[in-house]
Order: sequence, then C-alpha cells, then structure tokens
Amino acid sequence: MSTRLPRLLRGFTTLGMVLLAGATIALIILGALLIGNDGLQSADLAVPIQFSVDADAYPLISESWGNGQISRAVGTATFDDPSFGLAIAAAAAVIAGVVAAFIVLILLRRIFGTMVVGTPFLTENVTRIRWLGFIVIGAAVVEQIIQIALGLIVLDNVSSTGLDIAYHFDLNLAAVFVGLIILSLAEVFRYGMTLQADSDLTV
Amino acid sequence: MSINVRLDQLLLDHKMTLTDLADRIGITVANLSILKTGKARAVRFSTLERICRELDCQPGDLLTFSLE
Repeated sequence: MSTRLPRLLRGFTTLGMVLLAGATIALIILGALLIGNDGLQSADLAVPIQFSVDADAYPLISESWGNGQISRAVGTATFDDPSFGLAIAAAAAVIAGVVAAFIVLILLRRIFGTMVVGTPFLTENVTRIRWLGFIVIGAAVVEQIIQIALGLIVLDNVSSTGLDIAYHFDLNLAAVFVGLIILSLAEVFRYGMTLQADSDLTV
Repeated sequence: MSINVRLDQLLLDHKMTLTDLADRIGITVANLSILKTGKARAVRFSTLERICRELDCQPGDLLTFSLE
C-alpha cells in the first residue's frame, strides 16, 4: 500500500496543529493586551439570540406567494462593555473549541501515522475514530449549551424596547450526523480489524 | 476439538527445515511458522497444494482432527 497519501495527510494535520497553536497563542496575547488596555472588544462577545419582530413593521410582498411577514429573526447581540461573567462564558466557548480541534488533530495524526507504518485496522484506531465521533457530536452539543448559557445571561441583563428576545436554539444537526457517520465508520474499522486478523493468519 | 498440524513430523521425515520448505514453496518463514505452531485461522488450497507436492503427502497427512 502506498504511504504517500497518509504521509501527506499526517503532514497536513501537523501543519494544522502548528497553525492552531500559533493562532491560540496570538489570541491569548491579543486578549491580554485588550484586557490590559481598553477592555474587551464588543466583536469578541457576540451572543446569538433570536427575537420576535413586529409583523406589520416589515411586510413582505411577493407576486407568487402573496403577502408575508417576518415573525421571528435570528441575530447577534454585541456589547461594548461586557461583564466578566459574560466574557468568561464567551472565552470558555473559544477554549472548548480550540481544545476539541486540537484533540481531533492529534487523533487524526495518530490514525494517519498507523497508515504510514502499516495497516490502519488496529484496536487503537477503532477507539480513536470512536472518540472523533463523540468529540464532533459533543462539540455541537457543548456549543449549543454555551450559546444557551450566554443567551440566558444576556436575557437576565438586557431589555429591549419592541423586541421579544430569546436565546437562540440552533443545534448543529449536520455536525451530529457527521459524528454519527464517524461512529459508524469506527464499527466498519472494527470489522476491518477482524478481517485483517483473518488475513494475517491465513497461510 | 481441534485441528492439529503435523508439519513438524513431516519436516522431520523429509529431513527438511522450515526455512528450506518456505524457500521451496515460495511463502515466508513467518507464515509457515504460523501454520506449524497451530496459530493459523485458515490455509489456502494453493498453500496446501504446494506443501503436499513438496513433501509428497496428502492433506490428511498434514492436518488431523482430534476431539480433545
């Protein structure tokens, strides 16, 4: 089996880890500078929210479908001078994302590493692929939990005239499905492992 | 209940080493060792044929079945 592609992919994951580490360090330095100087920037603390809109205020007119209205909208709330709790919650989301991405890259690198050395059909790889699936699903769920937490903090502290604000529930179903596909791939690998063992012990 | 491989005895009868046989039938010593030590899960007909031809024996001479 040619090892060129696994080597290339392992190289990409290494590069990804270096870039991610660099970006994380840059982000930490930038964050420290911002906190030290003029406070956190509003752009760093964007909270996804959804809100009701006055249906009469923004009428939609269509020749094909008749009149319509916007009843619910999704937006991003940003704050000039966020509280420490809000900043921590937002930072936790970023840190969780970086940690998850790092673990994914490490697992992928190890999987490609086994392909370079020999067969990928190993017990370790089944466990690694299973972890990849759980991390992808977990990341989507954790992201949603953090978004809800951020939304609740915002709802507790913010009032808006004319808007009925609620936290934005938008579970990344695509990520959940991708995670399930990865989990099924782990089972395929497990079966591949038994076939590999059969093949190795066939003379 | 198991299948026993009598490769050891056959090699002894023919005054042949495992390496000699591996060379003659064109499979690796490692693979032949798997067969000799009874770790093999399956034997290809082609391998069986080559062993039988080289050792001038029948498949039944190489493989035996016992209830223990």
